[in-house]
Amino acid sequence: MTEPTATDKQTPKAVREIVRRAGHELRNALSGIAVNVEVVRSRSERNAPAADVTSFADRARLQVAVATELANGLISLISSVLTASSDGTLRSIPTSGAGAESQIELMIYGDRAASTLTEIERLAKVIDVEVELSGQRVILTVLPEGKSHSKV
Amino acid sequence: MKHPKVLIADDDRSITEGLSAILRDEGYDVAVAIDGQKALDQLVAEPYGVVLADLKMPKVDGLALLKELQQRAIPTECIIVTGQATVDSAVQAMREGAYDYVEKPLTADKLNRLKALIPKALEKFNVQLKNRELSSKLEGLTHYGELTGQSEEMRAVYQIIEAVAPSNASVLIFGESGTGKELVARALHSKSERAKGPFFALNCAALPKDILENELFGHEKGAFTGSVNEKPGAFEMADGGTIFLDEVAEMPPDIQVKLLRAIESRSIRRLGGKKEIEVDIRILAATNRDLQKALSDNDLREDLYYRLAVVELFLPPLRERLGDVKLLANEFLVRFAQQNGKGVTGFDDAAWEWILSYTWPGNVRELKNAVERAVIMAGGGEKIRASDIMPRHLQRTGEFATAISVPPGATLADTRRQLVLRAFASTNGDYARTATIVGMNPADVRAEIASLLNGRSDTSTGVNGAARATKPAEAPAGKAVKAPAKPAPVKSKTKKR
Repeated sequence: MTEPTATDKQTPKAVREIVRRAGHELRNALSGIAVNVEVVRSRSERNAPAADVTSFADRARLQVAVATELANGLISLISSVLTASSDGTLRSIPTSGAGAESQIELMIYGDRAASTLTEIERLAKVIDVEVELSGQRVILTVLPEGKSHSKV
Repeated sequence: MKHPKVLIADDDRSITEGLSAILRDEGYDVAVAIDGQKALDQLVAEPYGVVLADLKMPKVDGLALLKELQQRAIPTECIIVTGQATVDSAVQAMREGAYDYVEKPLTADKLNRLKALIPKALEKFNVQLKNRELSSKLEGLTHYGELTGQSEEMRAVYQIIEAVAPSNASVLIFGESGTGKELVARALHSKSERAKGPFFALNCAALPKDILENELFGHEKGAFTGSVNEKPGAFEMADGGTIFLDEVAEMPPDIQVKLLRAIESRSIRRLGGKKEIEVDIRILAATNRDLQKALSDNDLREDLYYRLAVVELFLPPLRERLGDVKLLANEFLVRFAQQNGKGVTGFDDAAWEWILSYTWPGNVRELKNAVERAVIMAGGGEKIRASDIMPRHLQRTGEFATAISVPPGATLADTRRQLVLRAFASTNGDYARTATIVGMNPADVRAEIASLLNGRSDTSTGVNGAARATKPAEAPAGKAVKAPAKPAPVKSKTKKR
């Protein structure tokens, strides 16, 4: 493994792991878009019947939705982490519960708190992260990979 | 036409279905496994040329799949396609035997790269499959064409012949005298598409220059005094087949120039002739010379060497494939007993001791001649004794009359070995008597003979003082290699080829 950089050391382990997993899923979704669009493109060039193309176009469209959801969740998480980090409400907490790899606690507040939380929850579901709410406090628990493994 | 089979191992349906469609459109027969375990099961059940595997999969992940493929020697080429792209995972995947590594997202560029990788991986898979089939076919084989041997060294030779024969490549066969270079050439010919054409063998050392030139290229009527008829040469007679030039390094330099020209232009001109005659031939050549010396002494033209040695094949001397000595001796015994109507039943123990401990500097030819002589000399219904099989010059004449020769540079160990061997021969393989003659204890005599038997002799001189023909150094038996771009400095005897 490569040595962690100064930034890595300052960033809680849970955040780094969430970003890594989200990145992986995002790349998968983008691949889903790319390969299905490629099928549409190449078959259209050959004037293939619509039936041979439509399902791939639909799949690409679905993957756009998935990628959008993942990207929104990731953006919401990172902006919340940055905000919590600057106002001092972000902290790593000792892992509790069986199988938890790492945990963080942060405060999510403001006008968009509800939608931000929803987006984070959607992301969390895909990447094996548990979300626990206690008022404005949110605890994110990184579970071992493959626990939920929900693929769209 | 059968479509090459590709397995996609990924748990992401949006990718597997799109990728399957792309690859099917490219003409592949595609199957999908939604986790590593299912991929493994499918690979065990039927062969897939290429597997496109995600690193992160349920049950068995991509790296574990690679490990299993390696451990269980399942033939396939694995391309890792992953979104978990880190240098570590890439390095680890390659270390575990992945053919290549493609990072997600699979953008148009990466898809194109993947499409280009698959045929290459399939080619590697097909070559490996062919090699496996060949190895299993050759395993346990005692005969190949007219060649006899089941040692690892000879199996390597068979494998090269099998691989090279179908091509039109020139092959330069290295080997000491008596190792069977012409038999290798015949096997190359008979396994090639030219098998129905003629095989023409010519020994370049056996003929004077003018005759050799005439034999190779033929002559027109009146080309020289006494040439009353036209005569086609070996090149014309071997048209559509194979010409084998034995002892090619002994060929006079000006004939080498003509030979080079004939190889390059695929045409010849008869002596005294004006027209070019096109010939379709494959050239095989052999030498027992130290090639480095032959090149440095200008005995063999470097440009001709490159033309002849597209593939080089090293035929091991008999002492380096002791495992074949018994097989060969028994085979010769049966053959010559039948030919001569002799009821010889085999070799006695002392004869075997001798046969297996002698280094056979004349190689298979010497063994063959020794067995033939022994069979002819043997009485009916008896076993061949050590004294029957020993070369005459090693046998006792009077009381140990034959002197041993100690060449300059020979060590004490060389000399002792010669003494022991000579005494052992003179006593018909009697350890106790040998020990008395040479003044050693029988255990040491036994150890000395055993060391010869195990080929631990570190001398470059044969037990009879016969110099070992120098094989190009460090080249393992049967190793075929492409001719180098440029020969190593010719002074070195340990040139690596």
